[in-house]
Amino acid sequence: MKRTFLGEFEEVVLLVVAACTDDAYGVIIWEQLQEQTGRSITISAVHATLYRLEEKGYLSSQMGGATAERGGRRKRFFTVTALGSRALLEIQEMRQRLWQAIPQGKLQLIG
Amino acid sequence: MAHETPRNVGPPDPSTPPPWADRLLEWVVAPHLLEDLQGDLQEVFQKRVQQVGLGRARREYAWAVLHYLTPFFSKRKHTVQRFDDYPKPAFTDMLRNYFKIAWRNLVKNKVYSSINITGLAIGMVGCLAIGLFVWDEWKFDKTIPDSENIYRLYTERTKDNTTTKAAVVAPAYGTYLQQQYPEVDTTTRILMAPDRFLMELGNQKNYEDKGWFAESSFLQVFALPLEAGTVAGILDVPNSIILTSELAKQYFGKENPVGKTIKINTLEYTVKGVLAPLPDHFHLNFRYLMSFSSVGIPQERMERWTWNQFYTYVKLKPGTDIERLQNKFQAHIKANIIKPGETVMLPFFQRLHDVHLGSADFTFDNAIRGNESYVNALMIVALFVLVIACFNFINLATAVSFRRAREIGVRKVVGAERRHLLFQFLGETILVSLIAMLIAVVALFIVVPALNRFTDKAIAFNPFTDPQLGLLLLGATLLVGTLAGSYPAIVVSGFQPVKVLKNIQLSRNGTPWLRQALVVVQFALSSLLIISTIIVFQQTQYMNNKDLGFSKEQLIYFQAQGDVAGKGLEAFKNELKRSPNVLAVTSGYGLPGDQFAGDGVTLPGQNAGKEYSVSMFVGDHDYLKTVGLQLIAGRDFSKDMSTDVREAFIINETAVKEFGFSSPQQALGKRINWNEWTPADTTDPVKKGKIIGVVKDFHYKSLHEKVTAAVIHMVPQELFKVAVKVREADMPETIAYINTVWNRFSPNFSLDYKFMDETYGNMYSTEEKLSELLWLFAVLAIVVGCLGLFGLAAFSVEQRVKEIGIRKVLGASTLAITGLLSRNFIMLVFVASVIAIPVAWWTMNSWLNDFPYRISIDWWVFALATLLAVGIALLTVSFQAIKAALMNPVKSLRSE
Repeated sequence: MKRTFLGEFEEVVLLVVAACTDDAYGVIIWEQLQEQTGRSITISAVHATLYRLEEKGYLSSQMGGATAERGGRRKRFFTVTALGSRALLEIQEMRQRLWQAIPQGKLQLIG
Repeated sequence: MAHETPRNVGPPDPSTPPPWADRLLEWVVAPHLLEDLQGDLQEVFQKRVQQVGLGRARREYAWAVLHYLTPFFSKRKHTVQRFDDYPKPAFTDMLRNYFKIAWRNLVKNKVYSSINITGLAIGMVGCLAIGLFVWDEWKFDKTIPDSENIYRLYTERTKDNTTTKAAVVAPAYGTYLQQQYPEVDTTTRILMAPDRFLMELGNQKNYEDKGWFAESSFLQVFALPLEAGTVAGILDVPNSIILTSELAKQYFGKENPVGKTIKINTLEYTVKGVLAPLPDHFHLNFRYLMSFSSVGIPQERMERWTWNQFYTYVKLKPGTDIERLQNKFQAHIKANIIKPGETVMLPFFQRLHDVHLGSADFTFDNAIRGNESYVNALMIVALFVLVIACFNFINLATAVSFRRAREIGVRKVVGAERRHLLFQFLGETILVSLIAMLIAVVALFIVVPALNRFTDKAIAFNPFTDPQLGLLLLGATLLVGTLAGSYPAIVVSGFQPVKVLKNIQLSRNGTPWLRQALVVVQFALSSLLIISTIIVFQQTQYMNNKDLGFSKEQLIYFQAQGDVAGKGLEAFKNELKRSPNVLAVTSGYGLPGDQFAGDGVTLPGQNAGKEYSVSMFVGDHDYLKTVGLQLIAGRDFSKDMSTDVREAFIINETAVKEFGFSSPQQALGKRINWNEWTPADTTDPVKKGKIIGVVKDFHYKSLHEKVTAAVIHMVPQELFKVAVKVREADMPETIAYINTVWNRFSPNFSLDYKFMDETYGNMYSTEEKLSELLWLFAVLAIVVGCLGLFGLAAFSVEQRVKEIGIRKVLGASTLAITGLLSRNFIMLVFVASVIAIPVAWWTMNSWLNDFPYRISIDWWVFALATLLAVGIALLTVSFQAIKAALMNPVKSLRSE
C-alpha cells in the first residue's frame, strides 16, 4: 500500500482536530491552531489543509449546525479517521524512538 | 438535504461583508466546498466586527477571500454528485465513460487498432486524393462568363458502322450558323496550324508555342479579361496579335506593348492587347492569338464544307433550345451539303462544360482534356481500397467483440438500452475513423503536391482554411465510421446479458460465414486490381512497341524556316545528305505523329461526283525512304519520271479499300483529282493525277485511332517540315552537323528539332499514367487486405492457442499446424481470385474494345494474378501460423 507522508503543517492540523473537545470545524480549528502554535495563519491555508487531509483519508467530515452569523450556512465538522489516528500514532512512535536514541551528552549540547 | 436547512436564521444583520467579495467567492470556489467555507468566513467576519469594527472586518474579509482564488478551491469535483445537488447535462458523465472505455480498448488491442486505423487511413488518402483530382476536373470552364450558352461544334463521321468524332469542323459551319440562325449570338473560329512560331523583338528571339489564329469574335465568345487593349475589333486587321501577360512581360518588360510591333516568323505583327493570365480551369491553353486574316486563306476555301480544320465555338442567345438548333442544322447539312454516296459527316453542339471531360474520344482536339471514364475508374478503384479497409474493421471488430461481452452484459444489467450500446459502439468506430482521417489529412499534405506533379495540376489542399473541404472531410469521417461500425455495433449490442454474465460460451466465431464472405470480397477486389494492372500495362507496352508500318526511330524532324523554307531547300537537303550519318532527307507537309492535312479527293474514273475524305501527306521523292514506308504495289516517286511531281499519288491500303478498288494492283494507274490549296494556275485549280503506288498501312496517328485513307503526293510549294533519317551511331555529332548546315541557310532561325519516337511515346502518356496509378492502388488494396488477413490470422491463432499446444504435445509437426491454420484463409483467397476472373475479363475486355489496336487477354494473366494473391496471402497468414506452430506448448497449456 502506498504510504502517504504528512507534512508538518498537516500534522499539526490533524493534531488540533484530534485535540478538539467540541465538534471541530473550520473556524474553531483555525483559532486553536493560532493559539497553540502562536503563528499567524490565514484561514484559507487551514481550509486547504483540511480538505486535503480529507482527500487523503485522514479526516472525514459531515455537515450540520447552521447559525445566523454564518448566514444560515452549515458547518463542516471534521473527525479523525482510523487511518488518521494510526498516522499520528506512527509519527509519535517514530519520534519517540528517535528521542530515545539520542545520547545523553548530545542533547545537552543542543540544549 | 440542502433544502432542509433554512437559509436565513434570525434577524438580518446590518453588518455584512462586501457583496462583491461574496460574489467572487461564489463564482470561484467549487460548489461542493462553498457552503461551509463561506460560512466559516462569515462567522469569522462577525467576530471581527465585534473586535475591530466593521470597516476593518470588511477589509479582512475581502483579503481572506482573495486567498481562495487558487485552483485547489476552484477545481470542481469529478466524481458523481448527488443528482439533485448540481444541475448538469445528464449525459456528459456517460459520454466521458464512453470515451474512456473507447480509448482503453484502442490501447488494449494495439494490433487490431493499428490495423484498422492504418487501413482506413490508406483508404481515405486514396479516396481523398482521387476525389480532389475529380473535383478539380469538374471545375473546368465553369468560371467562364456565360459559359452555359457557349457550345463547341464537333463532327461525327459515320462509316462502316464506326463513328469518329473530330473537334475540328469545316470553315463554312461557322459562317452559315452566324448568317442563317437568329438564335446564334456569336461564332468564332480558331486555326491551329502550326502552333509554334519564331518570335523576335530586339535581341530576343525564341520559338514560342501555343500561338493560334483566332477570329476577332474570340473575345466576345470567351469574355477573358484584357489587361490592355479593347475588345472591339481587336483581331480584325491582318498581322494583329494579342499576348498573354506572361509573354508580354517576357518581351516588353514593364512597358505597355499595345501598338508596338513584334516579328512573328519575320513578319511584323502589331500588338493589340494583353490578356490577363488565363483562368486556371479553362480548356484552351494558348499564349498568344494572331488575327485570323493573317493566314490569308482565299475566300472560296473558307466556304468549303469539307475542310475540317477549324475549332468553332458558338455563343447562343439565352434560352435557345439547343436540340432544335442542332436538328435544324443537321437537316440542312443532310439535305443540301452531303451528296448521295458520300461519307456522312454531321455537326453536333457540345456544351462548353462537357468539353474537358467529354471529349476523350475526339480526334484533332486542342482542348486540355480529361478522360471521364478514367476519372470514374480511378474513383471506383480508390473506393475499392476504402471498402477493403472498412471490411477489415467489420471483420476484426466482430471477431474480437466477445472480449467485451462482459462489459456489454454489465452495461445492460445496469440499465443500458440497446440504442445506448449502438450509440457507444458506433461512436467508437467514428473515433477510430476520426483518428484515421487525421492521419490521412497529414498524409495528404505530402500526397497532394506529388499528385500535382503527376497530373500537372495545381490542386490546393488545406481543410483548415477551406471550410467546404473541412466539412466534407468531417462528413466523410462520419460516413466511413458509420459504414464500418454499423454491423459490429448491431452484433455487439445484441448480446444477451444473461448468457454473457453466466459465462456461457458465446459462439466465438460470431458469424463466420459473413467474415469469410467479406474476406472473399476483399481479395476479389484485390485480384481484380492485379489483373487490370497487368492488362493495362500490357496494352501500354503493346502500343509503345507495335510495328507502326514505318520506322519512327532515328527520325528527326523540324520546321522549315528562312531559306530552308524557300529557294535554299534543295541545296540544304543536298548538303545534309553529304554526311555519311544522314541516311535520307525529305521535306513537305505531313509527317506521321505530326501535323498533316485532312482533305478530300475525287476519283474521276470511279465515282466522279463523290469526294473522298483522306489524310493528306505532302512529300518529295525521298519521302517513302525517309519515313520508312513499305510499298506493296506499284513504285515510289521517281526523279526519272518528270510527270511525278504534278501527277503521282501514292495511297495506303485503307484508301484502296475505301476508294473501292479490289486490290492494290487494281488501284495502280487510276485517276485521282485534288483541289489545290494555293493553285499555281488559278484558271485550273485542280491537280489531276494517277495512283502510282500503294503502301502498307502506317499508323500516322496514335493507336487510339484507326488508320484511315491516306494519300501521299508532291506539292513543291507546300513546305512546312523537314525530316531527316540518321544513323544510330554518332547521334550528337549528326545533330551538330545538321545545326551547322542549318545556320548557313537560315541564320535568323534556330534549329528546333524533335525525335519522332518521342512524339509517339508521348501519345500514350494517359495510359501510362493510368497504368502507374492502377499499380499503386493494386498495391494499396493488397496491403490493406493483407493487414486485415494478418489481424484475422492473429486472432484465430490466439483463439486456438490451447488447441495448438495439445496438438503439438500429441506430436503434430510444425508443417501440419501451419497448414491447419493457413488452409482456411488460403481457400478463401483462392475462391476470391476465381470469382474475380470473369469480372476482370469482362471489364478489361470492354476497356480494350475502345482501342482499335489491342492485345488479346491471355489466360496466364489470370493464373499469375491468382498466384500472386494466394502467394501474398500465404506469406501474411503463415507468418502468424508458423509463429504459433513454433510456440512452446508448455507456455500455452500452463494454467494460470
